[in-house]
Amino acid sequence: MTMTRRIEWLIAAVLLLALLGSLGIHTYTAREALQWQLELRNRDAASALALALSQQQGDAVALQTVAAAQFDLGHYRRLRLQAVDGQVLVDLQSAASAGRAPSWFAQTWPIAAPAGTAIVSSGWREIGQLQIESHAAWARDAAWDAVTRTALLLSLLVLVAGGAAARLLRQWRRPLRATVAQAQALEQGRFFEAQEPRLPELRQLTRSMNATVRRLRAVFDAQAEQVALLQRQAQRDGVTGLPLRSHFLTRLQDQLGADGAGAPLQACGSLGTGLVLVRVRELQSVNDRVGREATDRVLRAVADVLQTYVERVPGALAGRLNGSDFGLGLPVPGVAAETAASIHAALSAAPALRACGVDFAVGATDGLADKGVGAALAQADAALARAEAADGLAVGGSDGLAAAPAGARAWREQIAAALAAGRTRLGEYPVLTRNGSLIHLECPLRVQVEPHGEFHAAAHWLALARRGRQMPEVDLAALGLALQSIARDGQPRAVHVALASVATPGFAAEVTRRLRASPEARERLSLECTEPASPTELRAWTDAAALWRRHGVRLGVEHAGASPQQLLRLLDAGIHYVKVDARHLSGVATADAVHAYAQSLVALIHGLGLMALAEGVADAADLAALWALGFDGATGAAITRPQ
Amino acid sequence: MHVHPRATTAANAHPRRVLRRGGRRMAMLVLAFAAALPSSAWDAGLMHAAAQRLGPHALAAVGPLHEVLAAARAADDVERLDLINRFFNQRIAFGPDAEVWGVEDHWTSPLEALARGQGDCEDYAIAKFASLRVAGVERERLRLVYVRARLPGQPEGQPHMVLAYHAEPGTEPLVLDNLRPEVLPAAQRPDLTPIFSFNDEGLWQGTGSTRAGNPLVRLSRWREVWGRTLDEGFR
Repeated sequence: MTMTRRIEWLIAAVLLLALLGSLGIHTYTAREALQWQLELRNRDAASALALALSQQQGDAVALQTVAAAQFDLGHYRRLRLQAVDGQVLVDLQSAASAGRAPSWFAQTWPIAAPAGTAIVSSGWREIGQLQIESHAAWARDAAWDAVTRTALLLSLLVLVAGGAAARLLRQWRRPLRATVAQAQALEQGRFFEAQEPRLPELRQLTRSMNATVRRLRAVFDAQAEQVALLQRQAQRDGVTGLPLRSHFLTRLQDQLGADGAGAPLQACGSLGTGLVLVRVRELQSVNDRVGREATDRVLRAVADVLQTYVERVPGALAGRLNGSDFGLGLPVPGVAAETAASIHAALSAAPALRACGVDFAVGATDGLADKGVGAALAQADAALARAEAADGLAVGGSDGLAAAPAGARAWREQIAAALAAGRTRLGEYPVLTRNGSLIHLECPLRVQVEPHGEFHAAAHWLALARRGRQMPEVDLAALGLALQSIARDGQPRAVHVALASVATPGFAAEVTRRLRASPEARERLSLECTEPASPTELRAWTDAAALWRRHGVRLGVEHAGASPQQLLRLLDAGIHYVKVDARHLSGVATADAVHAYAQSLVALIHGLGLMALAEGVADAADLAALWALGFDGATGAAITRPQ
Repeated sequence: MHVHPRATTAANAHPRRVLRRGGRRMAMLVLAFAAALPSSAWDAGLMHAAAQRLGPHALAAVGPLHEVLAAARAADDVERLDLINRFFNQRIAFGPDAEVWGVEDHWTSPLEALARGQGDCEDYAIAKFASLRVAGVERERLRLVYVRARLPGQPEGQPHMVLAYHAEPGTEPLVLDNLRPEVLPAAQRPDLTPIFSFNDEGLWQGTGSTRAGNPLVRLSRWREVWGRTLDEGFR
């Protein structure tokens, strides 16, 4: 029994006891007083009648007449005059009248008084003793009335007091529950600070727990900072600060949307289509000529030019591919040539390059969507080769643009039609533990954009769906398919939910409604999102996650690792697992910096009490290294599902 | 008829009733229940305390009162009547309430009357009644009687109160009066015409003194003064 329930019972018992006790005391005192009144009435009547009878000179007829008159006029039960010699001179009786009071009351609380007595004499001679007894029905009625009235009033009082007590308890229950909820959240690995209640004891408790939460956050923050530092060291070029080759290529691959990496849906959702390559020619001879420091300045100048695009264009990504080659991935089709030209111009004007007389080439290619990264690089390399052969600038093929329908509206309509017609299906990529058991199937949505056409991966339509604000419909379609599939084969599945959807009003409730409709399937469902970037998204995700969590759904973050600090903010949401993006893990078996970063990341994730899963593991050596680091599960090309 | 000698002033002494009739069996019964029965002796401590409240006159009178009560206790009824009657007739001078107390009618308890040294007819009657009761006279034999008293020169008479003693129920009583100092049979008092008689019967039935605190009890003058009398130790 909970504490509040016990207090409720205690109050009820005390009130009931008070009610019965005061009713009992009241009944007792009322009865005492009434009995006294009755007794005094008897005595006074006896004295008065004896006084009258003493004036009759002992005349028997006169005695009887006066006594009868008194008896008839009054309300007496018995009137008796007994002579000195024992002879009964007068004995009058009347039947007791039934009062209003019920008989059980009269029996439980009998009201009786001794008869009043007085001496009747004639002159000096005593005639006898007079006894008068009144009817007690009126007294019983009075007692009954008093008791019922008191019972009524006391009951009202008790109801009022009980109501007030219940109200007070309700006021206490809310902060009590909040405190318990915070404690439970702590246990589940959700760290949030609760508002301090006004009750002193609970306030102290909440204050202590808040302090604990803050301390834990501080520890995690410090850890996350450390991790971030390692991440930079692992993935950034020391000279230019740009991502290194493997990191750049992994991200580029995501952007191009090529399948096979196991993570076709991704954070920025850009429709990567353009790639610009910059080569500092004869770097070794430049180095020999001007020295290492000047060479570094040259490299930094190139990186700075590329970095301006990264900062200006959302989704653009830059990287250093090797000693002399730089890459710039462009998220928007049709701008590669223009960008290449302006980069060429910027580099020609750069003082660091001019000072050293550095020669450079810029090659660009466009229309790379759905192409493999290798093909994209080859295409760009060809352009770069042409540029080197020509005047330092060349733009490659643009054959990939044909499939795109014209205009955003047409896209929107095509996607809506596909969703409406159910031209959708789910891909299935197993996420396995080290010993090969299935954690869940990662299920990205495929949409057949054109009827009877190809089922396209997200890279093909995601950016457009987002632009058309169709993410809620897309996510609900995926959710519906996943619930159906789970119901069919019982395999656990994970579905991506866009933050844009979560932030859409009504989306969380709709998801909840569908979860309610599938009480069995939802137990095997996981919902995952990318790391929320803005406070609005974070709040929306936290609220929605709290709602879904109650329905037994598992929650996760995917493509994580870019920002460990942001990961910490998800603590409130109560997630279960973190999927670390492939770009942070590729080369873990060989590169020490990557290994160190992965190690610190998995420590952080485990420290938060969450599962660490690896995405897009393509290399068997990497996989072995990840298992050794303690990852709980992995997905990607290197994962083979035991049959 | 035999008499039990006793330490009459000891408040905690075993009450022993002087049995005039009823024989040995009755005596045994009464002795057996003596401790449980309300005492018919007086409470000397209470009486002393009450006298202290009332002042030096009352205190001076308490000693002689104890003596006469003790003497009466050891005597038979007729002698008791003489002792008590004489004591109060001597100690209290007659004075109408209007003169003594400044009010029309004032009922005083025995010690109040002794403290004043003055009283009217009902004050004598009450004091004698209370004293005879504690001296051992049975309640059934004593009656306070309202009478019409015809004094010389007053043919229509005036209201008066006397104490009557019935040796047997229904017989002619002995009369204790302050107008005539001696105890006389009723037949020798043609100046008195009885109107109504009463005693304390039924007032405190089986209740002891505890109910004396109940304000309802003192609803009449008689009950009120009787309550005060009991509080002065006449019980």
